[in-house]
Amino acid sequence: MKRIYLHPLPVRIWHWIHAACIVLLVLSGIQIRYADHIHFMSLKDAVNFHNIIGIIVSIDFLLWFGYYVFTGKIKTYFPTAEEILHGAIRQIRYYGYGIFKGEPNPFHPTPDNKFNPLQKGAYMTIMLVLLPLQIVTGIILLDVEKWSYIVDFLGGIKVVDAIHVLLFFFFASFIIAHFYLATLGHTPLAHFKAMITGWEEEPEEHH
Amino acid sequence: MRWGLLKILVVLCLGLALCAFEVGTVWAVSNEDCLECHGDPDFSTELPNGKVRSLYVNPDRFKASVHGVNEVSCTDCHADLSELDYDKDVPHKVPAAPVSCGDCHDEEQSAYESSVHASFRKQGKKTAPYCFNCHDYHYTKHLEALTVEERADKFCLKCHDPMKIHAWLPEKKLHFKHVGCSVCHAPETGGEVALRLYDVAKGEFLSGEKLLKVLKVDYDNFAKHFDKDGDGKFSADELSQLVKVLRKNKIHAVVRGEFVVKYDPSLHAIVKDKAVKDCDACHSANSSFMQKVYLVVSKKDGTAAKYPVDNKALSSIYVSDFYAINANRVPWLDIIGVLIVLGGVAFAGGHGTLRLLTIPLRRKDK
Repeated sequence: MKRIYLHPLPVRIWHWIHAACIVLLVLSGIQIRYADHIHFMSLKDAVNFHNIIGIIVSIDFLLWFGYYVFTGKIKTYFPTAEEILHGAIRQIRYYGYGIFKGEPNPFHPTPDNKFNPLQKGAYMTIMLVLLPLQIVTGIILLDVEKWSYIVDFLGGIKVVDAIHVLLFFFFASFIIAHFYLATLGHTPLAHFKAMITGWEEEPEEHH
Repeated sequence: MRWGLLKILVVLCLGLALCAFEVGTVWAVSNEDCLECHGDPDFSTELPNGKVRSLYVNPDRFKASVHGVNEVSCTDCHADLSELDYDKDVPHKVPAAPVSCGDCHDEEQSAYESSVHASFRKQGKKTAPYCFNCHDYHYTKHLEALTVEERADKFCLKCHDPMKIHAWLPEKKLHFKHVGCSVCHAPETGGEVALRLYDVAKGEFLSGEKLLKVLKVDYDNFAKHFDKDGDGKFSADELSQLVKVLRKNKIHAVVRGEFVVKYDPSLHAIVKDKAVKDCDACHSANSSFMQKVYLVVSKKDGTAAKYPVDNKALSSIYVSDFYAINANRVPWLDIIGVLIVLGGVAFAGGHGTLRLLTIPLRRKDK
């Protein structure tokens, strides 16, 4: 068993702040959208809570983004042409077939290249497109009047809300899928441990 | 000679009769009589404290007012000034008695008497408003055509700064733009949702005049023009059709909603401490406000035509600039959302189940 220091401390802190915030945002989001049916907390409290958590995660995201751009680590998220053309298919074949037969994972993470091609595609879309879009629509909804010219341009508050809500459903779904995919380490808890200690255990290859 | 005497007698008698008639009869004071002086822009008086107070009434603005349009005369309200004596410097008594609006507007008056405004006035607070402080003295206009913001500007915001006194309320500016003050401060009146077309390119509400000119219809035929199913109400599709037709005519309008109270005398019973602070009053599909919905088309005279709208249309994406969280969710967004979440569950559950079922396979390989 090989041990690799895959997740440095700041990354782990970011990950868990993001995780906690996104879970809380989804839960309070459910309360806000379905206040007629769910009475865990008042609409007003849910909105205020949702706003505070939203601001925390937005600042947290900006710090993360700045750090990743500044250090060049953002490249970790960009798949190469080879990865798009072949790596992704290799990885799909592994998750859809090989994994059930006990084949080894064709991808071996290193501290500089820790995502497989599918992870790169997914996380790049999430961290650089969907999460920013969710933050932007969230900031607009935080003070609709201030951003009324953008709201008008987009065609009304319901359009902005629809984008925010669809992404909210996506993130709710993502939490479930992400949690499940995290059990695909060499043991079901391996990836969870790695995201706490930073050290990922990688089975040695036997050729 | 006799004839001459007779002539003189006849003239004298007629003169006496005329004099008697003049003394015994009070000439009705016409608006023109009043405006002879009060129609002069410089007509003013000096108050005991030295300040100059204008006594001018703009004839044109008065004629355009609700009272002017309805041919209410000056002395209908200033009933104590029904006689003019031109021998005096001021031909009527000064100061004139306060006007009693309640003589005609009795329901409004009795609602006002139970308001926080009246109670402060009774306590001697001189800043507490009476009718004319909000409605103006001589230029009272119809209000139906005004938007929530315009109405607030003309009335409540003259004295109140809502940003300072609603610490508990989230999204203050948004609420003040879409919820009339009296919705929460005259809770007994009951209300409705007023939909209006907002020109996003121009940044202003589309006037009824312009709307109908573009559509080449009049107020009577406007609703019928779009009411394809003939149910007498605008449905979501019919509203979207309206927006599309406007777009073809290069007007980029969205349907914007406002919570307003009914035009009822009871809205004068403004409350302070008993004002609605319950979000559910509006933010619920069961809200009484969400049950009655109208498309409001302004008229030049300050009134407005109100066309009924099917309240299900509020949940349509086409009513795109009105969303009271939770109350008028777009249903298909929820359906898509459930499918997205179920997709995540199905993926995790399906893949996980296959992993469990294939455990023997991996053991055999080892």
